[in-house]
Amino acid sequence: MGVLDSRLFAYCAIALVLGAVVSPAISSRPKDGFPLSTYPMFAKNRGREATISRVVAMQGTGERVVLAPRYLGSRDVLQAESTLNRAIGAGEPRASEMCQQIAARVEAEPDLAGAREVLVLRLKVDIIEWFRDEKAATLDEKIVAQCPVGARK
Amino acid sequence: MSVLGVIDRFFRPAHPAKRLAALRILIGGFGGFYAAGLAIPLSSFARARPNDFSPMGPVALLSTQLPGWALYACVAFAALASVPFTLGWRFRVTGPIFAAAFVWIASYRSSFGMLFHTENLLALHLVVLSLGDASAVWSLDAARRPNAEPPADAPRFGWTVRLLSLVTVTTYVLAGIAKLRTTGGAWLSGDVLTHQIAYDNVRKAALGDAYSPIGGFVVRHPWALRPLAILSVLLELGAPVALVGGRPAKAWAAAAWSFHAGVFALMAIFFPYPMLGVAFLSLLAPERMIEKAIELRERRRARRAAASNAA
Repeated sequence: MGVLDSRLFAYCAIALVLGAVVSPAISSRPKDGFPLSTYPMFAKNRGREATISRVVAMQGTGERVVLAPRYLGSRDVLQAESTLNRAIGAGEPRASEMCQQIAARVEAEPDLAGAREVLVLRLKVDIIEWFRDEKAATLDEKIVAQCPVGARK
Repeated sequence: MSVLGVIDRFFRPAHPAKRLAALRILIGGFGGFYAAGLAIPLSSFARARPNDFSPMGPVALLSTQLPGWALYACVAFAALASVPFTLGWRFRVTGPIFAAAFVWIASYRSSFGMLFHTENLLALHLVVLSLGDASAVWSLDAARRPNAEPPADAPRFGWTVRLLSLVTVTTYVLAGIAKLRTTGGAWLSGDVLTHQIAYDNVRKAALGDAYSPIGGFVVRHPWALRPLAILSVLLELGAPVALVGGRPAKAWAAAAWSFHAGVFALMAIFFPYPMLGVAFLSLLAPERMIEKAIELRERRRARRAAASNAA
């Protein structure tokens, strides 16, 4: 009889795995993690007003072009947002450093040849109204970092 | 039957070896493709700043992030390790190796400030599969014993299947509890869900990424979301009904799939593991899918042989 036939092994495995899966949630200080999680997805009450991050390239024409996650260093939007928010949270020098990294990527992009500078923004928005009227839904805008695209510009 | 007997039959039901083998093939195969696909998002971490590194799970063993070459080597190793796992070759050794490799790279992906909850259940399922006797049939291990009798239905196959289902169900229940614990009854009013959908879409749109226009429209009609909020918590807290098996399990799996389809429609978030149905296979009878595929292949072969004989 192999170990996998053993009733003891089966119950030990069940107890250990289930114990591990529920452990973050039953802890006195629940903490999300990986691969063991409290599964807090969509649980937080965010309210109608939210502060979000945005990065734009200012064109010579004055037009703003919203920069996609790949300019922020990741193709995954949530990862890009997380990196951006951490940089902003770390203070002005780190936000400026990230702005310059983004500006270097913009400079290498032929489609954004007219870009003059990159702005890292924090917006306070009404998230319900945003898709009806983005301008009206933007309650406040703060420039966190600003940097030129290319030394020649 | 005694109470202990009933409990034992619940945790260690006598299941066919083919059910566990089918789960090894389908979950392992999915895990292999998923691991290979992680090379794309992980490539951005090769250039990440050390300050952005906040290790999760086993990655906490590292004091600093991996160099690019080591990261790519880990992804390649995990993808390759899925092959013997899925084929059931020396599974006692290769099973835990692939499970550990997947947990490692998935944990690494979640070690840069953003937790990818899309991968928790897959990682846990691979760990559970690696603990069981998943290569008794439909495997290279079984092919090395050509004269062996096909194994009878037994608890040694059943407990692993049951544990896969228990883990699935538990993760949904925990998600339901988290919603009620974090927001109290406010979740049931639909407001929290409305704001979650709105926030998720706005932050994506603000960063120039794809978002759900349906979500953007629906949040202006919150009355439509209240029933969805109630249903989603009922689905999560009611997940244990799936352990009954049979129709309740099928019904719950269908409802859970619909829930993820709803998340995709309203928030453009794609959870591949449940959306492709793989996450729910332990609640069903996945061996029938493989048996049908084998049957179909044999019928085709027979037809071809008959045609060539006639010619």
